[in-house]
Amino acid sequence: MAGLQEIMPRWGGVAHAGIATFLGAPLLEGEEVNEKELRTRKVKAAVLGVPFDGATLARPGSSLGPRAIRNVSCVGPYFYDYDVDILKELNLHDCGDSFIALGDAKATMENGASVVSEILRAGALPVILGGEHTVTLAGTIAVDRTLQGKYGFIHFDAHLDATKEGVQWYHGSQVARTSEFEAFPGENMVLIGSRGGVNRKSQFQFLEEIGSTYFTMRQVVKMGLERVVDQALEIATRGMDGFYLSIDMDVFEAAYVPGAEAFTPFGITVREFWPVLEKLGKSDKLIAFDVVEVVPAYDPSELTAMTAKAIVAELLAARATIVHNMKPPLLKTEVS
Amino acid sequence: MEDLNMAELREIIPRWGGVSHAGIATFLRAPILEEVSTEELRARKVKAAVFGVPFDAASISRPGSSLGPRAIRNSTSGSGPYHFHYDVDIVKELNLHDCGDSFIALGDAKKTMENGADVASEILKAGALPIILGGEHTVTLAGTLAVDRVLKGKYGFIHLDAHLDAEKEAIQYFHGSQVARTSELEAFPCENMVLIGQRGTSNPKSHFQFVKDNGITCFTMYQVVDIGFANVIDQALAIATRGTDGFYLSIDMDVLEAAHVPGAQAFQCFGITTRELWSVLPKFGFNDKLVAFDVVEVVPAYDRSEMTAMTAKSICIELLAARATIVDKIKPPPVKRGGQ
Repeated sequence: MAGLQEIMPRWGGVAHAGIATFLGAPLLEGEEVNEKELRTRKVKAAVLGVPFDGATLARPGSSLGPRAIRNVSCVGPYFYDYDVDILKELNLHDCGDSFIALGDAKATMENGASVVSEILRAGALPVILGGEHTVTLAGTIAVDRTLQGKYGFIHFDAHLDATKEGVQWYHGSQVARTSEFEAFPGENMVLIGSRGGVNRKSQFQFLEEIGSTYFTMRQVVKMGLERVVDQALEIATRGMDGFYLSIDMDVFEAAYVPGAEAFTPFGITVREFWPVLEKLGKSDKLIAFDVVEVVPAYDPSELTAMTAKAIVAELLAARATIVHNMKPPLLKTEVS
Repeated sequence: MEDLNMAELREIIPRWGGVSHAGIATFLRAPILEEVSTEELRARKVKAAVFGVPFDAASISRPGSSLGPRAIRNSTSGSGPYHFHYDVDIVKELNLHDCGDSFIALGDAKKTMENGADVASEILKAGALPIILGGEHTVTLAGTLAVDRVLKGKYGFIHLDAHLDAEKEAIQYFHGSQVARTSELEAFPCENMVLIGQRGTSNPKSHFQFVKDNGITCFTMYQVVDIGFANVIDQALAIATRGTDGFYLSIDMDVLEAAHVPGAQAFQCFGITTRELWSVLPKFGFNDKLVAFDVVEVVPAYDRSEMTAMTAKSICIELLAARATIVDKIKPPPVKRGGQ
């Protein structure tokens, strides 16, 4: 693969040759993913898949998402708009997929959190590829366990995913579960893009009770996405040590994401989203992010996977421009 | 109905008899002319001629665009030749002909482009507008080689594409080098070349460097969003026609937002919308300096909906309809003495 990375930018061979790691990044799997190894390799960002769709009430198949995203990611690492080489600047690594405990959503999220914790402890940015939206918990559990301080939470999704009671661990409850962690105060959580008939009144009530902010799609249209995201960033970073970002592909208009697990019309467009990716990616408060709910089987065009890949690439390119001037969030061990 | 021929079918379809997908799928049901020669084209008073270059063997990304010309032709069967907005019958006004597909030299990109250029040359020498259907983007060379060989004078070049396709060295003939190869042809001065719509991570720095070093103009997608697409096209047309005898237009389907073209070979997010493109197509079609155009990189296998082929077809139709309104007043570009 290292050879291929050298060759591809010079246009030898085909883009789909070789082992499909994310953006052709070097691979670090299983026990190799540990704080020490990541530090030795000076890794500043690491991608991890959580191929889990076992607690899904909508279209199944998102466990094939990480593989589909990697398959379409085999393009060049150079990003013209910021004049950066993503792989080089971030020492980007692909950490493979965390272990799936079949039929056990909670244990699967714990497994994912173990990997994410190693990445966080190494001072690198974890990038989680879903899988269903439950996989956000692999990230937020790790933050809660590993990092010192308090963190905001920004959630782009057609759905609130704020089921307090009923099913504890599934792709409609991870926002409620995250709000129960000490690291994530309810009043620094922001939910953007909610619409359609799947969001229950009890979920809106729950969010109001814990002081979270939500911008429904109608509000987004009225205010404009850029203004909404400016406000969201303000709320999620106010008095915080950083923020976690979660992007469900169904926040987009269904036409852009025919393979999103719970796709819904009246979403945001790619044109609206790209300028805000720069704001999010260039914020030095971003500590981890996930992109979830790509179901390849519903989308023979690969459009949904390609869009998910492009979102990750845009965020990483923006990150690459600031990575040398930023301090990673403080670890809990550094307190005691 | 058993003796129905194409001419009768063309008469019937607009009157809504039969199904639109009946009969042989030529482009817009235009007459077929597979033995393409300047004399025959002149004899038939052809003003525009379509041909395909079903080639995808020098592609680094999703293969399958060699099936593009056939998919586009299939899609045209759903359209009539009359365009309401311009009040013209495209096939009649242009004496539009479908010249089939140029011969593919398996495994030989350069020879395949030479074969395509032979067909495009005959069309140009007949004073008609060649329309090339890809195939991968390499097929632009079938057009630009022909212009360089056959026409007198200098020509501008407008390239709508998410990618620069400006590879100078590594590979000479593939779908990421045809802009560089075209810039080396005498007929195409670099200062009259314009590249529009670039974005994403598949444009290497060396391509931007090549473009800069050679004085080629480039409007990246972020610039298009800032300036506005119509404004960019006005500037592009000014650059491509300044002191030239005409301009060549190349449209890679991936210039459009990926959602509009799920079967584009190297589709990318953050592209232009069909709404934006439609508003500028008349600027190209009404421009008497347009000498040839291509529409490329439709991969039918990735797009069960046929949306990409349908969009490619529609782009051709919009350009041809606008062209049909001015064709009687156009002086074809000057042909080199002795043809080639």
